Amino acid sequence: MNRRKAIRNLLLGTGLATVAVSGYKWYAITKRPHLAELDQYKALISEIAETIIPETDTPGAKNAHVGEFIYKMIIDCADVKSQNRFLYGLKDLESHCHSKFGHSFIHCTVSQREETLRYIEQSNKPYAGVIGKIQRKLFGTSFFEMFKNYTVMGYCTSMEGATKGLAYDLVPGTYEACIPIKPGQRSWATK
Amino acid sequence: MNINNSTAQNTYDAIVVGSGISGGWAAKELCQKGLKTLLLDRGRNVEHLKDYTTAMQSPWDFEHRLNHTAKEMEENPVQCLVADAANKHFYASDKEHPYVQEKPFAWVRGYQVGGRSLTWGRQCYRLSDLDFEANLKDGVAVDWPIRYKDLQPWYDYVESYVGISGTAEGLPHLPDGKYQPGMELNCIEKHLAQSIKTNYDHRLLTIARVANLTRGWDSRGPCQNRNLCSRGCPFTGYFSSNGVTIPAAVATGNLTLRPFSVVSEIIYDEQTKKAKGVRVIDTNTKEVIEFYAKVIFLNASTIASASILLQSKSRAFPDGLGNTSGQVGHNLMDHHSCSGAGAQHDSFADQYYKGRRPCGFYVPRYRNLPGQKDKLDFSRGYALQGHGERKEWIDKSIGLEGIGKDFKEQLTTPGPWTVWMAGWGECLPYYDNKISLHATEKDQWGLPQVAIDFSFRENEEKMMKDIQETSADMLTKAGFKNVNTFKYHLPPGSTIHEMGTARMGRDPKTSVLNEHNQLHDVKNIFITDGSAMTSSACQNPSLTYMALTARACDFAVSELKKGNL
Repeated sequence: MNRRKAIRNLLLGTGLATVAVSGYKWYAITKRPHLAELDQYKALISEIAETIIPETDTPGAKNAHVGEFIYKMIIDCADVKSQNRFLYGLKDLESHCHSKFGHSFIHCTVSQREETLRYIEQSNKPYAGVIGKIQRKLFGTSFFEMFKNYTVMGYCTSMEGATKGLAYDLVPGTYEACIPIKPGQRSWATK
Repeated sequence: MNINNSTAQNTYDAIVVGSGISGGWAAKELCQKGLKTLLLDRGRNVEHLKDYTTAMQSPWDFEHRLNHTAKEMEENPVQCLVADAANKHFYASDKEHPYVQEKPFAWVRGYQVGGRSLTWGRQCYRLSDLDFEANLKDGVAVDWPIRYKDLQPWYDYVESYVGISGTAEGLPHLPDGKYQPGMELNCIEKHLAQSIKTNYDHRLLTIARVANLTRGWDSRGPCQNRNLCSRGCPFTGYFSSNGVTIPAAVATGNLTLRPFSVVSEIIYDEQTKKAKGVRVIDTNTKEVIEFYAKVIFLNASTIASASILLQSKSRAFPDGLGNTSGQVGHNLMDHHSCSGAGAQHDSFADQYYKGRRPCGFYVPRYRNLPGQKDKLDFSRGYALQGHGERKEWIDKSIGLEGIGKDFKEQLTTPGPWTVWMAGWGECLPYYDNKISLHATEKDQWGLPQVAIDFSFRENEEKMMKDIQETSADMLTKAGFKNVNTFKYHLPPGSTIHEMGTARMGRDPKTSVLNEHNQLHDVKNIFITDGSAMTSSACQNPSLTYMALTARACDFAVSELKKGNL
């Protein structure tokens, strides 16, 4: 997590040495990303997404092909900074699993996976207030926040997610403005 | 010139330039009054029903769901600002249709038959004499040459045809119209309405008045509450040129519709002192063709209509046709709609809704009304538009921590009720807010690009601040929590209510159009799109364009019959 510390120091303005490191990190985040590397992480992406939205009595991220969606979004829709951050984030996550559990995320147990993601979510959390704002402005949303946003969008706009995980109605016909909520009521998938 | 065969073939009684919401009305009215009418549009044809290719698609049918790709965002930033993957084919591409932003201005265009009537917000409000008299009373710009009584029968006329749902409220400054039953407010909106009624004089909350049908109407609709209007409606649940006025014009047998036709200029005849016709570039063949008619309706949209006048230079009009006043292209206005407030409410946790109502609520103007004593630091006013809903996944997921089963449960169940509301505010007409023709930049047809120089000023900025304060106050009084005011950083133009570039007025020296929307300088040209607006009021303007159009068509045909055109 040296990169995060570097960002932190840059924002707090603590000395020249840090600025030099941060300059390198700035390059690292704005350079042209090696998107081909993403291919080797397809399975990993799917497993992370499934850990965020698991199969329960309704379909999970894997059933909804969220991994494929995230891959497509990173390749086609994300800007360069986000692409770089995404790749670095995956690598950081893998090295964390290797140092902590001795193997890849994919070979972790469910509880190891959850522990890993909870740790990354906390350590990726932006600062509160103005500093957090600058942080976001310079570096965009964090790896984990980005991953989670894509997972949520991928799931909730998929056929499996929208029709089974949520409630979907292509042609409602009428608008019923105030109706008693039903037990186990799912949210509407679209507005 | 001698009249050869092709001249005869290319001659009509009337030409209408542009087939959006006002052009569609011009075509219908003129055709129904028996005029052989040529309707030109620069874009492709969009046939009702047949060409609504995405109307029945679900989010997962789109490759990137409803998102734009990074390449699309880079190439078409303005298009991507308002469109999504499901309706972007109804918004013009910035890359293909460049313009010059001297200051940031989102010029959102619909280059196809039907124009932006396919994607409009459908809100329909009448102007009143508070609006028509405002410039005169304030000594701002010029006086409108008409008053409410001139337009009232035409509001009646177009509303009765369009089909508008809404609720009559009896307000003098927001006159009631001919309405189908209004759509229904939900729990939280009813609660807010009641609280506003209790806590304030001169304020009320009503359902939006929209051109969405709550009852079947002339074999159209009713609205199916899909809220996917901007893809085109397979049920004709809302009003558009494509679904309503163009088919009505076609049915008369008098309409010739010509898509792919960019009007490069209006041809002026010095001898008759009238317009002879229009010159068109066929966008497929690049062929230049002239069409002739006794009367021309210019309905290309506010910015495009002004640019056509500016392009139409002749010895008699070296600064552009009908521009002896020097006002063409000036006084550009757009409503601001970027400031407001949002909040959350703990009540009604056991209540939900079904269906996606295609409109929200409306709080009619409550500032600077006659008889009010408040000393405000801005003139004119604004109305609030907003909606209440429960937080759904897209809102709930923001900042929602955690993963796994609990996270999923949170994500997929309805959250607390929220209300979002923003002010749609009047923009004053400033002479130096303007469009002009760029000296060197050209489009793909060799026509000069439009340059837009626009900014909101002190009056608008102060109004935005007042909107935030009064919105937050109403929400707080109604027991909402987490009341957040906002002011979005959107470029002007984003409300897509451009107006004023060929304003109506009494004096040919200071205005472009007279009280009949007739060019002061050239009597057989009528302009009835947003460019005619002398002030912007704060109401969504399309209904007024439609009423002005029907009125001007009636006048034009009677003048034609009298031999005056």
